[in-house]
Amino acid sequence: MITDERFRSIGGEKFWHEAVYYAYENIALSLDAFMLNLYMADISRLYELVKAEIDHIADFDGMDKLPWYSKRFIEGWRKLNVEEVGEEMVKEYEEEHGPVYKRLGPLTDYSEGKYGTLGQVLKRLKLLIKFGIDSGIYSLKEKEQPWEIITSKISFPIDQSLKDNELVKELARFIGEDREDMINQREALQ
Amino acid sequence: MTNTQENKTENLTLGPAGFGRFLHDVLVNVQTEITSARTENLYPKGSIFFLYATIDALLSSMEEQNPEDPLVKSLRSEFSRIDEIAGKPLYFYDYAQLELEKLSEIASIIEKILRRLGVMRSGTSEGDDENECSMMEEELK
Repeated sequence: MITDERFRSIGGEKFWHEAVYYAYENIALSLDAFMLNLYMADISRLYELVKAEIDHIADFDGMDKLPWYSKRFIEGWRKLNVEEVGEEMVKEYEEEHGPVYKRLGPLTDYSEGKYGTLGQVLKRLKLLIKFGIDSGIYSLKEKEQPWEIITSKISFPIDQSLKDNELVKELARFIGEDREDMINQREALQ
Repeated sequence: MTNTQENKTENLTLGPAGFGRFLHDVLVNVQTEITSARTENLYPKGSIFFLYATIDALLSSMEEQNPEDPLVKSLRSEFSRIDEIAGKPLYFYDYAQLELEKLSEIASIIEKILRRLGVMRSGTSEGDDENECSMMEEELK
């Protein structure tokens, strides 16, 4: 799922994870069973992360330079707004304010876009999470762990003469660095 | 083939940003909410709604990348059973509340999907990897 061309560091994985958790806390844990409207700021941290990632390319280099997952997100966000209020109203908004992806709140809401129904929030959440998955920051796939491949190929004990081999030394360094990365990643998530 | 080996082959475990772990934790919260609702007569909170939207996003992404993948198709088909049980997609619920029995059924489906994806797994391959790695380092010193 992750390739070099994809966006891999949305303000750091930790920042992304916190934004998702914040959205979860607000949507799920503090949600009152009888609450009809939700404050749209619930998912605003996550939204701002994604919007900033799109804007810094779109505003400086132009929309054409956006990666595919950003374009897909913008399309999805527009489609969602069209489903909610119709093509005409979205066009009207765009003529006055620019692309509709720059607005978090649904166009059905007139209180500065702060409120949305449960469904409106969840559908926006889906698009934001999908951006994270498509871009590679939020993937179920583990980062490459070369020792998994290595240890499956060799058996212990290793020939001691190998310890003077330059390639083996380099391999050991590589494994060490990779372990450090993994430890750092774990610490970042704690 | 054991579960652990199978998951290693699929290479779908925890991943960057703790996505798998996070999904697992949210599902645990769903189970806790169900238990609380049963034993303390509390209304379940909305974790299942969050999980629903997140897994929908995951499946949509997988579908776009591998539209013909039979695994993705079967996962989507399983996921759509949630809408059947709930009577409509959870996006069309005004209240973040489901009947307890429906909630339980939906949680089972989600757990099944997460298990198939390798998020929920048996064994401790992570610990094994670390041990093997330490042994290798010692040998190379």
